[in-house]
Amino acid sequence: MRVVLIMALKDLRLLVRDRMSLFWVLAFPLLLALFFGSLFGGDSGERAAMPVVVVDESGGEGARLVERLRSSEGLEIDTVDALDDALELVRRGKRIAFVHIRPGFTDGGFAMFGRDPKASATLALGVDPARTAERGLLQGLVTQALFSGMTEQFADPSRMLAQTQQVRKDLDDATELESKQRERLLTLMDALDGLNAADGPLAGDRTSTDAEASRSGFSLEGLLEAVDVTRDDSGQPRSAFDITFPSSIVWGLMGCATAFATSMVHERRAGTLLRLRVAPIARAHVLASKGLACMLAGMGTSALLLTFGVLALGVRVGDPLLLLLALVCASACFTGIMLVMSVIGRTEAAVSGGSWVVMMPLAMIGGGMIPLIAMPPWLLAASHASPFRWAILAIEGAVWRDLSLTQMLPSLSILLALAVVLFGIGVAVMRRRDP
Amino acid sequence: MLDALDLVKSYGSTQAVRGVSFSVERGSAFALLGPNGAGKSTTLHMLVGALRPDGGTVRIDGDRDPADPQTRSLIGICPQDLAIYEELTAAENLAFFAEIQGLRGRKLAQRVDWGLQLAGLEARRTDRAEAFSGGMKRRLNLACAAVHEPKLLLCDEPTVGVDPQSRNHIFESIEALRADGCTLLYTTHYMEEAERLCDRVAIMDHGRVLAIDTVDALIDAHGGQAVVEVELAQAPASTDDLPGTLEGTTLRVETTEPLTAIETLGETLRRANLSICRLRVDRPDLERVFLSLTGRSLRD
Ligand SMILES: Nc1ncnc2c1ncn2[C@@H]1O[C@H](COP(=O)(O)OP(=O)(O)OP(=O)(O)O)[C@@H](O)[C@H]1O
Ligand SMILES: [Mg+2]
Repeated sequence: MRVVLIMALKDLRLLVRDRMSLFWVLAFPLLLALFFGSLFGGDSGERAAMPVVVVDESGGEGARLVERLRSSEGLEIDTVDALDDALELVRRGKRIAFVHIRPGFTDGGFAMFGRDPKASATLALGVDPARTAERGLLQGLVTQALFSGMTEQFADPSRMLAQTQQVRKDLDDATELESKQRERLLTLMDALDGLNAADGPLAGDRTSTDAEASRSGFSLEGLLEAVDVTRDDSGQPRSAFDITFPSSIVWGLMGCATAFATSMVHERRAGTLLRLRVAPIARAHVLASKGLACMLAGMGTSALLLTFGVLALGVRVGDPLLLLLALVCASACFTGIMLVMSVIGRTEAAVSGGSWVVMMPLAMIGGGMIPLIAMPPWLLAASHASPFRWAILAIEGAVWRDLSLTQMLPSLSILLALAVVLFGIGVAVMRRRDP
Repeated sequence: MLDALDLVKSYGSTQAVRGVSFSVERGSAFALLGPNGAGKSTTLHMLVGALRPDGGTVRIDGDRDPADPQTRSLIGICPQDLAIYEELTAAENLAFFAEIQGLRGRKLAQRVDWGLQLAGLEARRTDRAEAFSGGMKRRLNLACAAVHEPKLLLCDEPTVGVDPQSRNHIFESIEALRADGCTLLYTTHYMEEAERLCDRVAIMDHGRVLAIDTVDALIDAHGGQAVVEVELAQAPASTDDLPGTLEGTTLRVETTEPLTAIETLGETLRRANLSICRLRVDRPDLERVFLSLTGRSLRD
């Protein structure tokens, strides 16, 4: 056993010292992960409108607000009936935020005057905690929609009058208001009524008024309530890197397989294998050492790539133990691939060339380039034939799909079965060629 | 120490080795001398159990089978191709090949130092092999074969493509190993190497052993006579009195006693009033043995 370890360590040392192999094993997968991660990531500035879901429980009063939100350029609005559904959409990261129009909501800017400050807000905004960058912008956009309701009232004298009368009535009822404050507000109402009567509709240039209104510094406290949302990320990718890192790991495993297959052919041709075979070592030990080295290199590569993903890009590993299991099975499968490549290829060039010709299509259909979750159905069906698919599924299962061991068993056992079959083929071909 | 009996090996339709038998005495040095493609390497690989013969048997150290790992630990092989790891340093290469033979600890360190000294690479021990010259790599290749103190050392053309200096170094190394009691099997197509290093020589061609004996016996049996060759200053008027054969101005005399032949030739030429510009004596050698056995020269 000791001799197997010595030989495996020698192979790892050779790998680490060979720049070309290191590129394919580490740098290339990392570049792929970074490139596709930022390509699909959509974290760039020019993203499309922010998806926001609206729940209107005001019984019709909120319909105009919904319309104004819809016409807001930065937002993409859809509606659901139940608050729970809206909350779930945000928790699962499918919408950036929800707007909840509560019962008792009154449209129009004057809703803020004469309200009982202790009464709960009639409008709520819940933003995905992962989107802190967009929070301010969202609040701004919703506020703007709210205020442009007020502008519409200014534009319509009869609605305006009805509003000021309503406010006067509310002020009478609002006993807890300081008398000074009440006086000031009543004066404001008088002024507004006068303005309305004298000059007709106030609304000039709508867009500028909108902008003015949202910047006018009215306190929104009590009117728009910020609701806390906790993200529930189970079973879905949190970012594009969650998807690109598992596939980059499989690319790394593939790089290891190619590197070791090449090194095996090299040893055969250069005569070092002759030396190993003249040493008092069983042939099985030589094979075992290559297999072990390939497995270890695969695990090491995975660990390095993942560490980078976790530390630098926020990739989160759901279940480390299952991940270890997935990596062992995936490395075993690619070790089998390595063995078959090494017995089929006669020269180093044939092995590395052949690995590109055979493995590239398998990588393509297996999710190495196009993520499995973004595949059209026909491609997803084809992916069953690729070891890439099973390796990626197993790793994703532990990284973000949050699968249980039972759920992961199919991909894990397919990987192990492939490993056994490929190993068998490799040994059989080797025996036949060189008894 | 080593017995090969009727070894046969074909690659597809190529019969590489067609019935080779010989034995190597313990402590002696044995050469397989033959041109490219004679089947030397193939024979060697069968001897060490790396290639299974189509027919015939190999016995090592009495009646042990080279397929048995225990037997193989007695053997060191210096392959024809450079069998070292380019990305490892000289010391790491030696240490690796010693470790897989089971050496460790102090013994391992000692043998690595010994190997570096044998290869003359003490000053380059931490340099990677890829940075070495061809000759240095060859020397390391040999040291790696002997690092575990094998009783039987097989060298497959260990001096291919090296400069005279490294070649000499390799000869001296092999002579030192022989002095330590190591049995040597050496393949080459340089007859001087076989003559210098080995007690007995097997001449191989086309997968067959044509003759086996000591160098002297082979030359006596197949080398023919020495040749005295004289280049005359001018063509003689008559060839009647001259010994040997004349081609243009070149006179060739075959003889077992070159010195006596030269004396008589000198007198004859003086009498005929002929002067000479060049005199050469060719002693029979293995090259001539090969030529007389195969009708071809060792190297084309
Ligand atoms: N792996 C192989 N596959 C097919 N033919 C081979 C193989 N190895 C050797 N041969 C053939 O067997 C014959 C003997 O080859 P071998 O290498 O034993 O000769 P050699 O005496 O060592 O020659 P050299 O001095 O060139 O090393 C040659 O005709 C060669 O082409
Ligand atoms: Mg050879």
